[in-house]
Amino acid sequence: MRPRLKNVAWERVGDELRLVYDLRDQLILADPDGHVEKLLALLHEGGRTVTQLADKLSLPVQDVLGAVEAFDAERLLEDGERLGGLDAAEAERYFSNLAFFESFGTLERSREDLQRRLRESHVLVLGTGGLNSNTIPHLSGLGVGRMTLVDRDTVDVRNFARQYLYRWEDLGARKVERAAAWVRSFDPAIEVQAIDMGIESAEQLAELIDRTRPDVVASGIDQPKEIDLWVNAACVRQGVPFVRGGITVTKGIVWSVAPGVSACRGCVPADPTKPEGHADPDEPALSAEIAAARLFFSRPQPNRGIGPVTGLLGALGAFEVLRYLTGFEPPAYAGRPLTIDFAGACATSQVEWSRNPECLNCGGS
Amino acid sequence: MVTQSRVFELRRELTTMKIEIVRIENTRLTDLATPDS
Repeated sequence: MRPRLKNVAWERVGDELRLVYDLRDQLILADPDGHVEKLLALLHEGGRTVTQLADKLSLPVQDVLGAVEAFDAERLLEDGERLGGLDAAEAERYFSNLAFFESFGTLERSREDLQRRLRESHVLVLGTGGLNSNTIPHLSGLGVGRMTLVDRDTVDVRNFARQYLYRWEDLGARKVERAAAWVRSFDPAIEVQAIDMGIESAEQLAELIDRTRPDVVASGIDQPKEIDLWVNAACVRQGVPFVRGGITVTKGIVWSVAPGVSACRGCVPADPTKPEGHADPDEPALSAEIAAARLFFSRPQPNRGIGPVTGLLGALGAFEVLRYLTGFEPPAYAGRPLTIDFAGACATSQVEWSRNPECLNCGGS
Repeated sequence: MVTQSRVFELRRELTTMKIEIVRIENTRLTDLATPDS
């Protein structure tokens, strides 16, 4: 291990040092005798082991190790031995990704480790419509190494409200083929497979997951209404996380399921229009909501997804996929749907699903 | 008897009818609908 200081600036203020990495905060370090500043300068140069740092400073190894551990706890360091593994072209291609990941790098995992995890990852994308046509470009930009795209529709004129992967000349073409062509033309290094089919059951999807072995599923299919239960059942059974987003009139939602870690979609009532599945369906407030849901779904509902809405939801979904693939942060919406109020300044809220020990999918585990 | 929080109320006494509107927020089930994507 050869600790290297991140892109940190510091200045001396009397007996203290002021350090800034991220403008959101600053660190004040006591340094009355100058040892800390000398250590920072050596860490800035990088290339030295803890023992070499201690020798250079004429300080005990344990003291230097303790300081390094403290800096690492504040995410100020990366391991130089975990950097420099990308060639010049890769470093250019992923320049901003790497700059972003630097914030989350530690001695255990460098920015390049996080980028490498993306390059080695595989995402199964269910649906290349409104949601995922906005997720796919983000996954591509992030440098996800492999995508399997699934869709059964053709490009339709209504898609142009929100699906920017497609061109006017694509009208009538198979969507999944055009989406795959977009990915290939965006970045030929991404391996992409197009599967022209619909999802008809949990069993069929489980077989597809078993065959393609994705790391994460990005689910953007909204028909039939049982689809989320199918995706949930298949993903939980196969132990593969999935991310889902969508809109209901003026409320957006993004959630994910981490099998074995979070509550799953099967832990909560399957259908908001039906009293069964609720422990207390006769409770007046809940009964009224069930009645409202039944009325709402008694009318055919058009897809109201406009570009800014699906763009935002697709980006948040891609961000959640990124969390699963790299672990740079824990999943943010696992069993805790994020709702976005598009009628109220995009205010967000989260309510945690309760685990159901009798869940037929995860058994509450 | 509906007990959810009332977020809006409107009353109008018109010549031939009385309009009373109460808006009640649905908070518990909306997240369970299959959203459009």
